[in-house]
Amino acid sequence: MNDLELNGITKRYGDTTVLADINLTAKDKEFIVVVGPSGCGKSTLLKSIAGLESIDSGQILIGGRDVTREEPGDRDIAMVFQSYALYPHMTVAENMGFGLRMAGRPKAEIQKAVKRAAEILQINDYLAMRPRQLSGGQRQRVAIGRAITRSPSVFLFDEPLSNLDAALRTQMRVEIGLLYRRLEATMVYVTHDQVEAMTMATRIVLMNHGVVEQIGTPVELYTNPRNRFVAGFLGSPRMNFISTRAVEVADGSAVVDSEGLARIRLDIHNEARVAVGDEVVIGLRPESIRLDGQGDHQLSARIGLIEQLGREAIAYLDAAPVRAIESENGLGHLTAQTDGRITLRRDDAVSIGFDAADVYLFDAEGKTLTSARTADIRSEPEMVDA
Amino acid sequence: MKTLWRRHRCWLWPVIFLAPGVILFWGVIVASSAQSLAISFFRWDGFGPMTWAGLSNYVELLHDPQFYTSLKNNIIWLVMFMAAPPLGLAIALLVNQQIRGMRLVKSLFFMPLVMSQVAVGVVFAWFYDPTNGLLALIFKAIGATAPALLSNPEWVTVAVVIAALWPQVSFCMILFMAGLNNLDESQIAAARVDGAKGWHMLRHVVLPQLRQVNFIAIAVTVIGALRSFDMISVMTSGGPFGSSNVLAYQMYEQSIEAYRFGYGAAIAAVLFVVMAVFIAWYLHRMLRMEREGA
Amino acid sequence: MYPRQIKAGEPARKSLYLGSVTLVLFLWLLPLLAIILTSIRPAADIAAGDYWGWPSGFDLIANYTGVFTQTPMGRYFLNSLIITIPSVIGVLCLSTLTGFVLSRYRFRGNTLLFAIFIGGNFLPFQIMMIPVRNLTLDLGIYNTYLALIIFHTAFQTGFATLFMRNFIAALPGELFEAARAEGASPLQTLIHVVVPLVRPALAALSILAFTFIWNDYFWAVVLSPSDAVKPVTAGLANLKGQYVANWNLISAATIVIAIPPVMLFFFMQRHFVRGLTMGAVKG
Ligand SMILES: Nc1ncnc2c1ncn2[C@@H]1O[C@H](COP(=O)(O)OP(=O)(O)OP(=O)(O)O)[C@@H](O)[C@H]1O
Ligand SMILES: [Mg+2]
Repeated sequence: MNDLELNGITKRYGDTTVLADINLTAKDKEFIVVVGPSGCGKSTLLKSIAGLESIDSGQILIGGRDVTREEPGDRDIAMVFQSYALYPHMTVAENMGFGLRMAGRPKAEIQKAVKRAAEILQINDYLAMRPRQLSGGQRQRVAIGRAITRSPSVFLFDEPLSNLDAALRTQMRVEIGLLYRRLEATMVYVTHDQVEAMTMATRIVLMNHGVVEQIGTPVELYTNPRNRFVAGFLGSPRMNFISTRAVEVADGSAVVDSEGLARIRLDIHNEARVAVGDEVVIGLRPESIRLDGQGDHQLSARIGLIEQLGREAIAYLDAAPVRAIESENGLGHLTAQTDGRITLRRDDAVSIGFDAADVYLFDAEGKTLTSARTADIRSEPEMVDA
Repeated sequence: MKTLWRRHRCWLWPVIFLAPGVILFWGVIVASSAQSLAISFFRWDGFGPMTWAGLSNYVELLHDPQFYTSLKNNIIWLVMFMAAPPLGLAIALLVNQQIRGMRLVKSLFFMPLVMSQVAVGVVFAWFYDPTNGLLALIFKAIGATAPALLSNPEWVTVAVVIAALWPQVSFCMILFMAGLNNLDESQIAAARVDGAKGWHMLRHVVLPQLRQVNFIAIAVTVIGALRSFDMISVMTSGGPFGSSNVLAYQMYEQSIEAYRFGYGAAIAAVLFVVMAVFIAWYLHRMLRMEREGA
Repeated sequence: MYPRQIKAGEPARKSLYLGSVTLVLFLWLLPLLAIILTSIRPAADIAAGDYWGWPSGFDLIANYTGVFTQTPMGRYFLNSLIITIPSVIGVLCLSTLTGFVLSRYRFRGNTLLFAIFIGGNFLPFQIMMIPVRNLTLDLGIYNTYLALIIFHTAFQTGFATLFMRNFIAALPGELFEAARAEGASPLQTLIHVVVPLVRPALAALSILAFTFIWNDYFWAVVLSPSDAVKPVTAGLANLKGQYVANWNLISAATIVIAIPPVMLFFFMQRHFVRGLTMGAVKG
């Protein structure tokens, strides 16, 4: 049983609260990815779980055991750091066996554990080398190997791939995924890279300013964001937000209207949170905007810029008087994602379309009002069978 | 017992680590400095009983012409010593070339620092010797008679400080060499691309990066100036007639030679206050730099 | 590198440079060269008042053995070693411990403690003379090696703590967090992580501490009046009084007492600049 349970974790530095009442239950063999903007407290959360930072209140349970007051070494965790944190004066093998050596384990056992970990990560050839003789990717493997050697119940990763180049990052991402399936341990993985979050997680914890905004599977967070922050954080390019006004609220639906946009009727789950006349925000993902004019709603626009990525293209659309707030290019353009075989050019006039079913509605506080929808995206990362 | 240790070991270890250093430092250095301040309020010959003297030691100090001479000399030391950082920087710049053999040259430049001040004092006293010294030789060569620097009340302090500058410049040079080793190459390269050279480069690109070293060099120089003792003891014993005396040496004289420990301690207290101002400045700057750096 | 490096393709420039550096170096070391020359000069030259001309002969061996046979310099030399070596070791041990704690543990009073180490070390140590002398008298160690060892260890610990603390603070913090996460106790972290990583700092510090303690004169005078424990500096000052006419002997003695710090310096020079760069300059 390698469950991890966090109950009401709160951490302050002086007057600033860095973690506010964090609750999380990670079931055995789950891969939890913690994402959020820089400075939101991800590393602090991870260090609190590891015991490297003391917490002001709350409780941490690992495998059902309360470890809140225990030393990191007694928590049955292992941590992989962003800078690898390998000891420069020790060989790879010594680095990997350090934890077991400190615990006073017999030499033979240490050797066996190091060998096993080295085989899993294919670093047998480097065991006698020093960290500075290795490349970044190899160092990262050693750092992970060091964690594996101790066979902990919970692995903690703090942005382990952010020092690697793009190609290596993709490769290591896949490898960590495989490793996870093989090791059958609970993992908590901090990143600010949403591709990592979406592809690796069984569940994502999205944090902002020390608060958990939403916890759920990647698809859940993507299709049913609880609020505007979550909706805007996940997905690249970002969701388009357009400020509108509610003109009708009745029978589980609301109608919004703004200059240049026809009235849109949206199913909502809580009528109490919006009244006629309220300023509200609607959201539309770039892939929901179609440049062929198909859909329930149309509006005319001019192409501001096309970013051709080959397989796909991103179009920035000037749809004045409709303007996106917090738009990607700062000009109020709407962002649309389309097929790469696009023939449109800059300054072309287009008719763009979208379906009301793809529109999200957020109330004045940013909470999502539109009813939950079912995901039409497949390929959820599967959990290891318990 | 074992569980008690397990529960508290996370803070017990650091306490155990700190204890020996802190106890020794506080027990000897901090306690002695504090005690010195206390003794300055007593009359004491070092053997018999101590009698309360209130502020009388300080009052006497204010009327002691020797005190003002010593203070004036300390200021001369301080001012002249300030030549050490720029000279050290100049030599460091001179030798900062990667040519074969330069490493040996650099080490040779360090030698005065490694020599003891007593040795330096002995050597310079001999240099200044008006009959057989090097100075006498030079004056003879130009047909003049050498002045007896060390028995001339006007020049004696300057002569001693020049001798003391020799190792001090070496010290500053070492610091600047380490600093030059540590320059940000990309900034220098960028400035070169922008056409900066020579003095402009030094002033606007190199010196700002050496701020930290500069700070340390000035600190060790101030400390060196206020601690001056060895050279004076070896070269002049404060003479002639106290004209090369400084506070540190006067204090020693009063205590060890005149058995006036209370009066010596009062001189120590003055030195302490002067230094405390400087230390406060140093700590303030250092902690601020640290906060900015973090 | 600043200033601009002389390139291989500029031989004229290089010769000019080397010439001027040699000249400056010669002037810089003139006092030292004069002592070396005098130290190998026959006593007859000195007696004849020839201090600066070319020696009439080379009495290197006679003069240097004279230092040890005609004067108590051998005794002083031994005393200096007995005082300096344990003090340096003590300083290195204590400051590694204090530097580690002050740089890696957050607790109330940390900065104050650190400030007192620095402040105490910056004080002109002469002001501690009277109480330190009394302390050693009370402990019954006045005029013994132990008095000097204790004082030097205590005093240099202030400076060394500053040095080690800055050095350890400049090391990547994740190394220490990793050790802790791996279950290493603070003692194990100290032995297996801190000590190997601070070796360059220890090298630099050992040279500085050795030089400071070896060359100390003030405390030698205050705490060890007797010949039995007197170190070389006080010995040399005495010699200067007793052998006024024997400049060749005094010069040789001056060279002899500079040998240990010079040798240490040359042995550890590489580490010295590196350690200094990290410990003092970056910190
Ligand atoms: N020792 C400290 N003292 C005071 N504030 C701190 C300290 N450490 C971190 N913080 C603050 O706590 C907040 C959270 O920091 P944390 O390192 O957990 O962020 P993060 O989410 O990991 O960011 P990043 O993505 O940049 O790594 C930040 O605002 C930071 O300024
Ligand atoms: Mg972080």
